[in-house]
Amino acid sequence: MKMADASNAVKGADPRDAQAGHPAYASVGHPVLRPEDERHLHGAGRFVADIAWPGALHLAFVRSPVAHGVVRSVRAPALAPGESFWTAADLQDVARPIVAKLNRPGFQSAPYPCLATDRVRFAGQTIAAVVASSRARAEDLAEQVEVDIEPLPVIASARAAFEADAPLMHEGWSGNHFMKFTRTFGDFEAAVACAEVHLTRRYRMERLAPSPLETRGCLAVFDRAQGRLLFHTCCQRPHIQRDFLAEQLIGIEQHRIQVVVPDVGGAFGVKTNLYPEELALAAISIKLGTAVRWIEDRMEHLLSACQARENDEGVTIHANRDGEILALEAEYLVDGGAYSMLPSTSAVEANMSANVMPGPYRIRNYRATAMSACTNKAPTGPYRGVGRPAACFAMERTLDELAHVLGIEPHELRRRNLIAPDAFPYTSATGLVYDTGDYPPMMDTAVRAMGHGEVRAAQQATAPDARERIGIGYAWYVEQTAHTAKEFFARGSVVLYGFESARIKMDISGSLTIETSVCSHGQGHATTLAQIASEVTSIPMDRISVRAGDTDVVPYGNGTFASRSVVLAGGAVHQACGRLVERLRVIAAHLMQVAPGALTLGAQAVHGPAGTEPLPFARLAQVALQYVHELPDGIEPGLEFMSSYRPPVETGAFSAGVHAAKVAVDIETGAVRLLDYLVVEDCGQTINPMIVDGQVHGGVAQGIGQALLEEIRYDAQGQPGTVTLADYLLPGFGEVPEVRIEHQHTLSPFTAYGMKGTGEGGCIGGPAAIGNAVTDALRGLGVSVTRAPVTARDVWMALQAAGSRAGAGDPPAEPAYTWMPPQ
Amino acid sequence: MKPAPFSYERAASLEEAVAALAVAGDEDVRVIAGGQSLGPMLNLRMVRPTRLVDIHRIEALRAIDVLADGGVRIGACVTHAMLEDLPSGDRFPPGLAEVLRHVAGGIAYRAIRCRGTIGGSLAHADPAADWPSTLAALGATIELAGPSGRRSVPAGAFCLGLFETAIEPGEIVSAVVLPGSGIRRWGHRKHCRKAGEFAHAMAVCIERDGERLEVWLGSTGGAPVAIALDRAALAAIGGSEAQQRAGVREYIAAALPDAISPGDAYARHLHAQVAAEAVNDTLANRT
Repeated sequence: MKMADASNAVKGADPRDAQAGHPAYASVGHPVLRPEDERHLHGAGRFVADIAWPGALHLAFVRSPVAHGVVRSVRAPALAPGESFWTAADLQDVARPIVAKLNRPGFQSAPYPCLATDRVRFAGQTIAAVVASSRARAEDLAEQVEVDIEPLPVIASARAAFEADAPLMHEGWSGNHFMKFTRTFGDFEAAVACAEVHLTRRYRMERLAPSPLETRGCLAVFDRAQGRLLFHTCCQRPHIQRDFLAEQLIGIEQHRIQVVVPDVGGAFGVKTNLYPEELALAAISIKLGTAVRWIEDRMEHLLSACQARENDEGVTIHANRDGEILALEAEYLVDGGAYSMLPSTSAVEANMSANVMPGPYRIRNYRATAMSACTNKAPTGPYRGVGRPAACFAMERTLDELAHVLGIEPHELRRRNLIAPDAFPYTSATGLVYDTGDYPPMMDTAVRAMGHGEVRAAQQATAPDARERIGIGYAWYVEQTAHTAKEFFARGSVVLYGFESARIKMDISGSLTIETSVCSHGQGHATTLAQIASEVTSIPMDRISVRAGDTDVVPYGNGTFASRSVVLAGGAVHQACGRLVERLRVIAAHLMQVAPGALTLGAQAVHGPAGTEPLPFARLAQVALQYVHELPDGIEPGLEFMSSYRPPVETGAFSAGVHAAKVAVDIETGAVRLLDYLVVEDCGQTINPMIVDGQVHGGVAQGIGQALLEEIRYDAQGQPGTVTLADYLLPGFGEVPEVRIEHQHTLSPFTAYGMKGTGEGGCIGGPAAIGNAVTDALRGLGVSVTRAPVTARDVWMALQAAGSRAGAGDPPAEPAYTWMPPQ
Repeated sequence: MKPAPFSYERAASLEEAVAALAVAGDEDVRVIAGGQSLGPMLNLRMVRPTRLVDIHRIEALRAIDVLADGGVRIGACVTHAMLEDLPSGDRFPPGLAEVLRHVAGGIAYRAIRCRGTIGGSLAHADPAADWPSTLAALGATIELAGPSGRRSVPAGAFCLGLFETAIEPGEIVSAVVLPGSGIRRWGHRKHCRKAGEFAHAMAVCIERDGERLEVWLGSTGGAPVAIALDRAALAAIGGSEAQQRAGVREYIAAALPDAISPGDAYARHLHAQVAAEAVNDTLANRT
């Protein structure tokens, strides 16, 4: 049975029908079923681990059992013929240590070797590698390796990194920070002096493991005869990965490296980095001149793949009694782990949090401190949302606290501070340029759709000794998407992600192949990009193929991350298809002997003036590719069009969203139950609303995980306590309710169709919305959420503490706020 | 995450399995049935047997029989899913099928229930498993087959501690035998942070005609623990539903052995809380 026949596209209600002045599209804006789902639903997807390569050897790493120490010796196991053992010394003539840099004052970088040279800095760091005929055999050998490590004192928290007796993590550093800065925007001091209320809160977001279904993995094949490295991997950016490999490997340039990315089972930012494991694998393949495979297991993933968040936050809001925010102060202290990941570095979380904090609010006076500490834990880096979940948590939780103090409904307090619709383009205090937005109606939609009034009434009607208390919470965010080179340059990024490319090929039958530089890890590019091509060319979806993930095939580009693919790769497809169509018009005009302007396009044909026979694309393709003697003078044969799209504005298209959660808290166990979850989102013109919904659903599941379950734990000796999924709890179907989504479409003025990216928004609002809802439920009991995840244990312990304080007649624990007389 | 090398044999009968367990020299032989706990432990190299004896194909161990005295004998390789799917209207003692269905259906996920077995769960004796406390409360006996024949151990005395049981070297859990007397009322509760997770607290309460309430706690970190519940004390607790639950909770909290989660107020509260819920369910329900 054929699952999803793309030609029988499901035509849903066009969201723009209600908006006057927007054209109705044939393909864009419709929830077309994804052709790529057929293979996945049949278990016929092909991931790195599925690639059969006769004779490929298997690699296992020897990892550090301690968090910090000096490696005194590493003794090889007893090897059988065909097996090999590798340490740093064996690879130093093939692979350079990874050094991630940021062009910002005060940023400190350090080498991250693919195998530890003299020191190990986190439990799980790679020390040696063993290659054998099977993974099991390689693991047998790996556990026979004797490693002598002299332990060093361990830094197990960001705060400990700054203590006077803390050991220095990296040679030559001026302290244990990757980066720290304080920046002040606007007339901060004056605004603070004018404020009537000053409210300070502290929060903590725990460390997360991004946890894609498919762990990391690669198959390196070095062909000595050709001198070429074929590197199969599951990454988000094939060309960037090739650049990184060429930079790190000694004596092999890009033109001799082919990166192939088959199906990827989720990435979420964790697969943007170049990892020591990947580099070691490539180096060993080159040394051996053979194929070597490393497929990461879940324990390795939870030990050593890029982790994220772990953000201690302090926020002070300076406001008027009517809730207008006059100034905002934020401090982010992030535990960045032992090394910076290439290329985003361990500073990415704190820097992003500080940069985006003002969000959708009209805040002109702002002071932010961002500190990224170096500790003896696994490295951190980008994970869907990067910094924004933390900024959202700090901002939105504190807004609810302010609303409570001032006696204003939280949604009303937000409405008073939202950027007005006529203020766009709006430049934020930190210099972000929001292209368009229309925020107040989104707040109205959320309040209406959540039945806010009914929740308040139900709370009023709750018996004092009721076991369950319900609460409602909101959280806002804006999401910068599809920003390009200048924006990354301004942030100090060494790699600048300026454009994406598409090559459009029409064959002699008139069907299309798109080669794109972005690389889907589940987003459905094969559908959305084909929809755009279909829209421009009138060619139906089932006659369009999309190819990606092979540096020998697709044009150069930067890949998929930072919510950019639809705008940039979609823009490139739009542009390249426009050129194809233009060429078809020119050929048709010549054949019909009419002016190109007199022609129209539709139903895979070029139509001339009334009474003439339309020329099907297949006929025009025949002329362009075969019967080239019929071409007009000066027109090259061939129908391949390459286009690299660099948007006219480099500061990005800004999507926005409000998340709303309704929860029930069991005060006898502390357990939180999600009763309702709503997302009101605006990503401009949606290309495929079903895919947008999917992005939201998946992101919300991750947000719920962070809000209620997920937490990487280390003990005081830097020993990880969460190395299996029995300890690191991911949300399942039981924990994720049906997510309701309301769409709004505020178009971007400078992107094709007015689209904006939407990859990350879904996971940003969860901790804040749920934290606010739990706090709302427990207002009368003196408990407020200060940590994500909100665990049943924390809630119950806080209820006990609040109960005993109340019993003793003590004030609430939180030194809430100070009042100043109005001036 | 691959197991250390081991040899493997599949037994066709219980006798063959018992014979295969006869250990030679420093061999470490383990029985594998559904493998839902042993599999991950092998892969994590937390256990490293030299030989595995697979019993899951032994048809005789997959039988559920109603005995002449009205009791029920469940073969060791009966899966949780088979118990979850027990047909109604059979000749089981009143209430028993409901309890088995409820408890089995709450174990982990369906995929795990389709392979995991009741005998394997008992032999593994993870404190957070559902069967040790449930079968103790149900007054079951565990049948063991060994080189010198068969013997039975009361379920309440079967689990001795964390991963520790009354199984002697060379023995295999062959069946669970449940008594034929009917269950009047019952309750089973557990607290998990997410569906399918190992429980942090678990309690089962069984009331038979004219008998006292059997209350057993699981997830204690060791063997299941019986709580003596005095009917008179229970009857004295009155008030609203919330007050009654609090009263039962306090009663159980007072009876909770000190060895359970010492120093962890929340964990101790949870044990009492789920036990109170199981007792309240029992008092409120009639099967």
